[in-house]
Amino acid sequence: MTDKKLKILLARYKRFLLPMGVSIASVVIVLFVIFPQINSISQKMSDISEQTKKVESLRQSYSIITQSDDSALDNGVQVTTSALPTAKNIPLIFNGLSEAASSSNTTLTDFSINVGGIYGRAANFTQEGLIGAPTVEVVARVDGIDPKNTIQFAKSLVSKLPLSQINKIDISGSSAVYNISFFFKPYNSSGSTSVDSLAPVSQQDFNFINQLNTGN
Amino acid sequence: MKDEGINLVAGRRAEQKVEHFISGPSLIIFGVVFVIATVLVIYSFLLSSQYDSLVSQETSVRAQISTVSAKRDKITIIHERLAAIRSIIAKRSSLSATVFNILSIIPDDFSLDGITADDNQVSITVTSNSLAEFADFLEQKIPSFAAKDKTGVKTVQVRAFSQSKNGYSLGLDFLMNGGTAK
Repeated sequence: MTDKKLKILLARYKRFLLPMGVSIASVVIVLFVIFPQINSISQKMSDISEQTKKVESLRQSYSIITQSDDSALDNGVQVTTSALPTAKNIPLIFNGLSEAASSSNTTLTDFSINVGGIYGRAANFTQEGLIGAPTVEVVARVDGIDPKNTIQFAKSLVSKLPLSQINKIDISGSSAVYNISFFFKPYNSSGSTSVDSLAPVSQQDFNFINQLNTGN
Repeated sequence: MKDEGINLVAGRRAEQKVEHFISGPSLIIFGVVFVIATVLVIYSFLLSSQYDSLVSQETSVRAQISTVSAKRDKITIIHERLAAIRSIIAKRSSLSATVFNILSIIPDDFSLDGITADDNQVSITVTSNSLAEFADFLEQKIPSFAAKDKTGVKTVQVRAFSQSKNGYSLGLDFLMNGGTAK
C-alpha cells in the first residue's frame, strides 16, 4: 500500500525532481565551494601581498649588500669593535689608557683591572650594566706635573677607544687615581639580524665611525 | 441527481505552470552558481601558483644573499655596534665634562691642589696669595657659575677657607643632586 502511494507520488511529481535537485546542488556549491573559495582567495591575496613585500625587501637587501664598499665595511667593523669590544679585551684597554696618557702628557704608573669571570663559564657575561652594556672596572694611577695636567688624562681618555666612563677622580698634587668603566658587549647571541630588511650603512654612520676613530 | 465531475485538465495545467515557474530559474541560478564557482576555483589556483612563484623567488634571493654572507654579516655587526655605541655615549656619565666645566671658572693664577669627583660631588682645593682674587671668585664667578651651569651642579658649598704658609686655601664642594657634602 505504501509503495503504491509512493509510486503515485513519484509519477505525479517526477517533473519537479530535476529543478529541486538543481536547486539543492546550487545551495551545496554556494556553501561548500564558493564561500570557502572566497575565504581562501582572501587569505591567499594577503599571503601574496606579504610575500611580495618580503621578496622586494630581500632584493633590496641583496642590492644593499652588493653595492656596499667592502673595505669601508671592514674599517667600520674594526672601529666599532674597537670602540665596543665583544669581550673583556685587556690589551685594548691598556692601549686606550696608554694613548690617553701619551696625548695628555701624563704617565700611566699602574692600573688594575677587576677581571672577574674572564675565563670559564663566567666569561659568558650576560649581565648588562646600567646603560645597556657590561663593563670592565679599572683603577688607573696617573702622574702628571700638577692637577691641571693630570686632569687632562680624563679628557683624553673619553675620546679614546674603547668607550669608557670615568666614575671617580681623585687627584692630589701631581698624582691621580681614576676609577673607570670600560664598556664591552658580546655579539647578539640570537644570531644575525634578519636580512629581510637590511638597512644600508649610511654616510652619516660612516661619518660617526670616522669621528670615533679620530676621537673627535 | 446532478453530475459533479472532477476537472483533471485544469489541475494539470496549474502543475505545468508551477513546473515551468520553478525549473527555469533554478537552472539559471545553477548555471550562474556553477560559473562563479568555476571562476573562483581557477582564480584560487592562479593565486596559489603566484604564491608558489614568490616563495621560489624568495628562496632564490636568499641563496644569492648567502653568497655574500660575509658582507651581510659586516653590515649587521656595524648596525648592532653603532646602535649600542650611540646608546652608551648618550647615557654614560659626563663626569670629566662636569669637572672641566668647574675648572674653567678657576682663575689662572690660582693653584689647583686637589680634585675629587664622582657622580654626586666634585670637590676642589685651590690656593692663592691674593685675598682680593678670592673675593672676586666667591662673589662673582661662583654665583654666576651656579646660576648658569648646565652640567648638573645644583649647589656650591664652601668646605673650608684657611691660611697657610703658601697663601690662602679654599675648599669647594659642587653638589650634583642638591644634597649635602660628604
